[in-house]
Amino acid sequence: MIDGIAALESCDLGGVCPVYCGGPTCSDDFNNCAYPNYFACTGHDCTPISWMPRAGTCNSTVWFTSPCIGGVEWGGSIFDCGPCDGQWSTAGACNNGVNLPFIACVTPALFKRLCDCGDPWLWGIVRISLHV
Amino acid sequence: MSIQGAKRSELSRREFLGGLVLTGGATAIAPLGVTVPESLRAVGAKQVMPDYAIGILYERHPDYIVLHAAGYIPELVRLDLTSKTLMYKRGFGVPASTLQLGDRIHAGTHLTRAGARIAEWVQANPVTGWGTVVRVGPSQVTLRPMREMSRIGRELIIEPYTRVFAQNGRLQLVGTALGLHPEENVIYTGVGIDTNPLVHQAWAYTIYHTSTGYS
Repeated sequence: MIDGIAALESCDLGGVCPVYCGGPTCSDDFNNCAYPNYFACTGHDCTPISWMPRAGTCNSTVWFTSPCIGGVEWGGSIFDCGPCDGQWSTAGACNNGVNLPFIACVTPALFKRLCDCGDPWLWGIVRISLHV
Repeated sequence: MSIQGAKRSELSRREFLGGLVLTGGATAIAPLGVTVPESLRAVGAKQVMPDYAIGILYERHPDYIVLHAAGYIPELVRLDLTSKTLMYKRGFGVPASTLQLGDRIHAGTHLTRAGARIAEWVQANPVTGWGTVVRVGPSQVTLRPMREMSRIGRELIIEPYTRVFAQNGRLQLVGTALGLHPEENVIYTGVGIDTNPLVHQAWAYTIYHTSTGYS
């Protein structure tokens, strides 16, 4: 299992989302996150905040494509999403004392769907647990 | 939903995402008076999503704007502006008149029953990315490209509205980045000072310090 942060990244105008393994650029399919890389992390002590995630809710699933694996899509569970306006907490704040790497790019469109936070450019990180 | 990490081949995406409202490409609705030819659908052209639109500002009117969404069908997307539409360019709540033709626009939208596309918010020239802090000043943060990540280094301009989440989010600041330190890695969002998505200088909306696992 990999815990990590999916950070907002745009795919407009060709995209600048970095992807490892010489793979493709990030997808602008709102169903998918690009999967730039992953590596082992040290676990987490973060209890999901049931009221924090929005439309996607805790444990909703997003799909990743991995140029490192190729041709396979993996589902990842959302633990924390946001923050949303008026909520003074973040997926990052959920990481207290824990190293959580970036594991993906989330397109702004997907972020809007998952987090229901309005403008994703004002916010923009999602905490994800991914089984591979 | 307790299922995690299953391969797509084992269960369908739709089964996983049943709790989400997924009405994207398959059911996108063209603006008023525009139909999508079946012949174009057949060759896999992308359709503008019902709740999200990206394009270049093509027309600007007091109560609507038109985006040129290259590669999408339809290519010209009309967004109706209302009194509730949130406009972001450099700051928040700017008038629509501050938008300029050629601006790179992202917009959250919804469709009415009649097929009109209403803009909930409009963002001009957004940028985002990640980087490693080089310098922190009272009004700007200098970033170099994070190792093995984006190749874009940036000067992030701190505005009174900029929110900074330092110390992995434990320290939350507004209007100052003095909680950040050199060699820390950050994620950020903001708007560029011009339309280039690779622009060097940007006004920051949010900056998150995060440990990345890179060393």
